[in-house]
Amino acid sequence: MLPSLRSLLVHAAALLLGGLAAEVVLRSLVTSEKMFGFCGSRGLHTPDDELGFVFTPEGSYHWFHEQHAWAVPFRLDEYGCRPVARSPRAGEPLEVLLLGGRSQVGGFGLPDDETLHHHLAEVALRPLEVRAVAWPGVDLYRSWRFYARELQAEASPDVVLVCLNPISTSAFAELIPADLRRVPPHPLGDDLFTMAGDFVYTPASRLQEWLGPDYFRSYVGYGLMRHRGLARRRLAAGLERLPGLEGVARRIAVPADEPPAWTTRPEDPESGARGLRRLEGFLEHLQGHFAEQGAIVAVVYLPSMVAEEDCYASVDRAVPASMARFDLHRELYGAVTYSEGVADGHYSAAQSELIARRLDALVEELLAPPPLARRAD
Amino acid sequence: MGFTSVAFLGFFALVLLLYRSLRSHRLQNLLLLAASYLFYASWDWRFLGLVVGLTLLDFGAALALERVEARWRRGLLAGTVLLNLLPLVVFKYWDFGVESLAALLQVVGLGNDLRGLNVVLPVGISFFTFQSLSYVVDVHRGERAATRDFTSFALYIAYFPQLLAGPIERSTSLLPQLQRPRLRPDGERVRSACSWILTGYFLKVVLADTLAPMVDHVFENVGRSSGAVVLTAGYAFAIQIFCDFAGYSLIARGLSRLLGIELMQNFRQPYLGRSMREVWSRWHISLTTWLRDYVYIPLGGGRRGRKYVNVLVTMGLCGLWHGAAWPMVIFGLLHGGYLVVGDLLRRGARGAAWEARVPGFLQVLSVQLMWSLSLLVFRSQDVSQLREVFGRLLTSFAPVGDLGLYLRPTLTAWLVVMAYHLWQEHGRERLLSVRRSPFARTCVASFLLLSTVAVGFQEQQFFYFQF
Repeated sequence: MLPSLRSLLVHAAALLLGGLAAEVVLRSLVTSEKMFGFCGSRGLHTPDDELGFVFTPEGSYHWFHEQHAWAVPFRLDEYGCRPVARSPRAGEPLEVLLLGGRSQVGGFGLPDDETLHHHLAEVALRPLEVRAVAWPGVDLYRSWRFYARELQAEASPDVVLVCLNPISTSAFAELIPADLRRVPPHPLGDDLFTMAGDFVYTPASRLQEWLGPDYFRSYVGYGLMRHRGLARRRLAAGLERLPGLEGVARRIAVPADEPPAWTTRPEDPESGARGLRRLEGFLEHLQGHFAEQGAIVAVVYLPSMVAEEDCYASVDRAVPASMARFDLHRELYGAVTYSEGVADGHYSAAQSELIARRLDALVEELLAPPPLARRAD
Repeated sequence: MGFTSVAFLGFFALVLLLYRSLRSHRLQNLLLLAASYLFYASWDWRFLGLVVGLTLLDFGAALALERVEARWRRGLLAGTVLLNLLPLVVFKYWDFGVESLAALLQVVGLGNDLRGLNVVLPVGISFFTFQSLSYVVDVHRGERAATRDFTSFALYIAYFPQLLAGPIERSTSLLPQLQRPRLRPDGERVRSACSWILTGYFLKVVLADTLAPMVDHVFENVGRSSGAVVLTAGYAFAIQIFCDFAGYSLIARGLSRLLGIELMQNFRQPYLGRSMREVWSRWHISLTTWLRDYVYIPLGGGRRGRKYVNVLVTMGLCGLWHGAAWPMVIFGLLHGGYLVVGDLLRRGARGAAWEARVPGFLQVLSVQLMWSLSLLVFRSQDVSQLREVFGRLLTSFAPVGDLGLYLRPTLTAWLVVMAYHLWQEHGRERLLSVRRSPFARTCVASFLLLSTVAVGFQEQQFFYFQF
């Protein structure tokens, strides 16, 4: 009995030592951002009572991505936005505001001089001053709330481009109260949203919820714990390929006893319809607000790399008839696809420039006098 | 279905289970052949015909070589070699040749509308072509008899643990093992096989796949990187490519040993080499010995007056084998140059005395520097990127800035790799008692296992699959 107990203790001690060595090597080898799948440097986010989190103003940070965007440097201005881009052209600039568009407009993975709004300022035919109020993981509604709270007094945009992604509706389906006047107490709901240390994450399991920030305390511990979810998702991905098993795959991927990791629920038509109704009300609200300030407002459907060509069909029905809308997704369908070296689903520098050229044409179109006025001239 | 995928682990477990349940080695071969073809088809079933076609060609050619009259044998061999190389030329080198010709015509002012085939490269083509080719040449040289056992030969070409990225086995070593009953591996062999597999996964998943995004990022943004970052990326890539390829080779050897079949050692602590010649004798051994036996020696080897030309030709081909691009050719010739200069420096008593005076670790470090610089050439997509890489390296002396972000992972990985090298080089004898201790074994195994599982399997492809 004694030798086997001794042997057990020896192996347990060896296991512990091996685990400690693994922890030391991994901590030194892998950045915490890559290990935990964080999208940016530590300190990038600051908790915010109203919005859950905001991006920390005035700082230099790095973007990270599991496969791409390895430590891409970028800056945030005094408001926590990507720096305002100004055209190299001389003259009084026209102020353009890109509102919403999440990480695609927020320039995830791109340095300051490669973002969509920077390219727009650069390629514009007339001098522009372009501000992007959009960040990774921040939906259109929260972008607007931030703008109203922090920037409205300072900014006086001439043109506002409300940028939509295919998932824009889901935020309105679940998070936004119908009357648009009451600010939700917490943008993602307390059960779905946690600040871990100085980073934001959405718990994907009860275990994560229970452990909170401690979930991210140890590399080895985190690495072992996350395998439960990984194995489940891999199995679901495998089953999804087999005809007739899509339903089973979905149930495995998001079991009923766990909160959804993502807020999109395309399979729920009721929530989709609710989202569209609220989006429509919200867009009307924005149009009225900016029209009072003398700005032209238009909606832009951003190109998506994963969605079908007509993915904005239902969103399109929610855009008020009086608002101009531009379907860049359909226009650039097939031209904006996955690119090497860019975080999946995000624009590369070249794609940003391509989209910026189209946006510039849209700005010119919006500013052009209407046909009747032209005839009168 | 890569080695790091969950699907492969399930596939291998099933194959092993069935394999163990079969008594006859012929049935085992049939099972392994079916599994190998399934494995290859899981990558791209369209190219399975290529593997089968090559098998039929070389099986028949070797039999014919034994039967035809002596005067026809050279012609038959030449024809077989050309037919073997034809798919490689079409799939791998045709576009490169056409694009190079088009660029040349452009330079001399002749407009052209030459277009490449733009075809997908069959995975592992360079490996199985060389393996198959060596068999025919060996039969022609009389080093082995042509086999009449088609299943074994087909398995020799398609054996799945080493089909995609080697080691490039010789018919004199692997084929005989396939033609006779295999012993079931004993406890010690199973343990060593598991240790290789575990180490291989650690090298690939923890080290190579962690450094890969960093290196990719630098090469995708060369214009934004300082010279110090580019140099660090060179070192990081040197570690990445070793861990990737040596990791694959170790996994392949371990899996094969579990099946009772031994594969050759492909890496022998290359980064402990004190000269470039020593590095090449330890790096991708199955390729370097193949090139020595089937290219360098037939060219005349070290014959007086021809030696250096032969070295340059062989190393140029070595570069071209790695990829159809000018940076690869430059990489090969650069190493040919390293070898020639190294040989000239070592000549005579003065060279030997100089070598003896320089401490060993300094020689190792300087060779590592040269190797890392050459890998910047290897990793460049084309000549313009190559120019940009070395332009940044030599002209951009920006302040340290983000260097720490690159330096820490690179230095850590380097320390781990060097510790692994030293353990392998000296541990066998000096640390025998430590290796045998259950405490040390559990400690090392738990370190490898926990760090590999913690980092997680990203299903990143092995770098050498593209060759």
